[in-house]
Amino acid sequence: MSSLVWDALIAVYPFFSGIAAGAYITSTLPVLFKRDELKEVSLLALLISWATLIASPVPLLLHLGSPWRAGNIFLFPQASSPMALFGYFWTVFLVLATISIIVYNWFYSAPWFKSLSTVLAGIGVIVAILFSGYIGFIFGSNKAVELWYNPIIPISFILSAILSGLALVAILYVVVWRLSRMEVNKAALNTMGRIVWWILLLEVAFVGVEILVRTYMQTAGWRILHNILMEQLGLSYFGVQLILGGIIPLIVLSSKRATSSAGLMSIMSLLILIGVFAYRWNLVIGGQLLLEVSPYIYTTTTYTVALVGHGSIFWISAIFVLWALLMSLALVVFSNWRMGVKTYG
Amino acid sequence: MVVKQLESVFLKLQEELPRILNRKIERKSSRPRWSMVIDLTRCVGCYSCQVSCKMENGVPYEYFRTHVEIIERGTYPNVRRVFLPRLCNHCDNPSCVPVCPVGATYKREDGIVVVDYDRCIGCGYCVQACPYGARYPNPETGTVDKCDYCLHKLEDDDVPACVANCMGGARIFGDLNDPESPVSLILASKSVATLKPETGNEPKVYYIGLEEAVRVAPGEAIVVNPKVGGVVRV
Repeated sequence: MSSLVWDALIAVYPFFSGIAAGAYITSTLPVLFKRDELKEVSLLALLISWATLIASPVPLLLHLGSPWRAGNIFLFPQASSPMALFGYFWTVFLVLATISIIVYNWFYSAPWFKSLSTVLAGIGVIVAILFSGYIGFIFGSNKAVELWYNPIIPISFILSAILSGLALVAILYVVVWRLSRMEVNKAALNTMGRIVWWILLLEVAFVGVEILVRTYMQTAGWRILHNILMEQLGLSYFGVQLILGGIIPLIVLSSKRATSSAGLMSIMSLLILIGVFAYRWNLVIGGQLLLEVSPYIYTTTTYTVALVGHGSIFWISAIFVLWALLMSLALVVFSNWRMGVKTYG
Repeated sequence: MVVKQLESVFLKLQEELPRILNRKIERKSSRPRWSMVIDLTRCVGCYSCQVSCKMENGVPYEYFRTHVEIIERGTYPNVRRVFLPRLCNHCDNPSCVPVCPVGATYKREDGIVVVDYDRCIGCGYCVQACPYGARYPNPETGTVDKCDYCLHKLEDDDVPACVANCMGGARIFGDLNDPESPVSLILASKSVATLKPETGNEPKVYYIGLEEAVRVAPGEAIVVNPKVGGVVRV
C-alpha cells in the first residue's frame, strides 16, 4: 500500500504549527519571565513564528480532497470538532503575531510599549499553547487508532512544540547573527540551552513512560503496535526520534560549555528539530500502519513517499522552500532585529 | 424419499419467495429508524451485495461502501471459512459525526448517517475516527463517501441494493420503530450482536452468528481476505 488517508503532508502540518507556537513562546520569555538576555532574539523568534504560521496551512490545503471548499471551515465550523478550532486559533494567532511584530519593530520606544507587549505576550502564549495542543487532541482523542488514542499526546505535543520553536530560534540566531556579522550573546544561547534541556527531559520522560506502560499492560493491540514501533518505525522511532533527537542532545546539552557554544547549540538544536519531525512522522504515519483487516484482527501495512504527485517529496520540498522564503522575506521587511539588545528595554 | 425432499424444498420456496421477491418497504411508522440485520449463517460469500452496491452508487475502483471479508480459520483438516459482510454501522453515537470540522456528516432522524457532499472538504478526519473503517476518501469527487442505505432507493420505498441482491437472504432491512418489520421481529426473537460494542458508538447493524465469526482464540492461525491479506496470528 503506497497511500494513506493522512499522508506525509499531514506530518508536516503539526511540525510547522509546533514551531510557530514554540517560537512565539520563545519571543515572550523576556517579557513574561524576565529573561533579559533573550531580548535580542525576541523579534527574530516572532518573525519565525509569523512566517511558519503563514506556511502552516499550505500542507493542509494541498492534502484536502476539495481544497476549494476550505473556506467552509470558517463559514460552517462545527464546535464539537477539534479540527474546526483550527480556523479560530490560526486567525487569532496570526493577528496577534502580526500586531506583536509591528509593535516590536516600529513602536519599541513608545511609552505604552512595555504594557502592550506584556498583554500581547500573555494572550499570545495561551493561544500558542492552544494552537499546538488542539492538534495533539485530534490524535490523542481518536479511539479508532491504537497508536493515537492516548491522553498524553496533547501535552507531549505542546512540549515538543516549545522544543522545536526554541531549537529553530537558536539555530537561526547563530546563523543570521553570524551572516550579519553580529556577535552572538553566549548568555542568550545558554538560557535557551537550559530551557531546551529541561523540556527535552520532560518529553523523553513522557515517551519513556508511554512505552513502559504499554509494554507492561500488553493490551490486545500491543503486539501489533510493538511490531510497528520495533520493526516498521524502528529506525525513525528509536534511532531518530528517541536517540538522535532526544538522548544525544540531552546528554550533550547537560554541560554548560555546550549550551554556551554556538556550534554545539546549533548542531544539537538541529538534531532536536529532526527528532521532533520524526515524532510527527511516527505518530501520523505510524498510527495508520496498523491496518485492521477484520474486527479485532490487525496486520501492518507499509508506506513510501512518492517522488511526485499527491503528498510527494516534490510537494513537501516545495512547502519547505516556501517556508524558507517567507522567513527570509520577514527578516528583510521587519529588519529591526539588527538593532538587537539596544532596542528593547 | 427424493420426492419428499423436493416437496419440502418447494414448500420452503413457496414460503420464502414472496419475501425474497418483495423489494418494497412497508412504511408503518411515521418516524422510521432504519436498521439492518446480517445473518452470517446465511451468507454464502457470493459478493453480490458488494458488486450491486458498487454499481448502484458508482463506487470507484478499489473502494467499497460495503464489502465481504473472508476469514479462513483453523488448521488442515479442521478448517472453515467465515464470510463477514461489512458496511457503515449507522451508529446512534457515531464518532465520525462530531469530528467533522464543517458539519458535513450528520445523523438523520431516521437513523441514517449521511455526508453532505456539497459541504465536505475531504479532510479525512471522519475516515480516521470511524472504528469500523466504513468510510473512504472518494478520489473522483474529492469528498468522503460511505454507505447511506441507498437513500435514493429508500425514498422510493425500495430496499438498499445490497439487500435486494443478497441471494442468501442474509441481509434484512427494516424499521426499528415498526414492531412488525423484519428487523424488529428478528431482534425480538434471535440472539444478535454488534461489532465492537466497547467503542461506545452504539452501532445499528446487527449480526446473527457474529461471536463465532470474529472471536479468534489466542494462537489461532487465520487468513483474512486471502487474495489481499496475509496470515495473521492473533
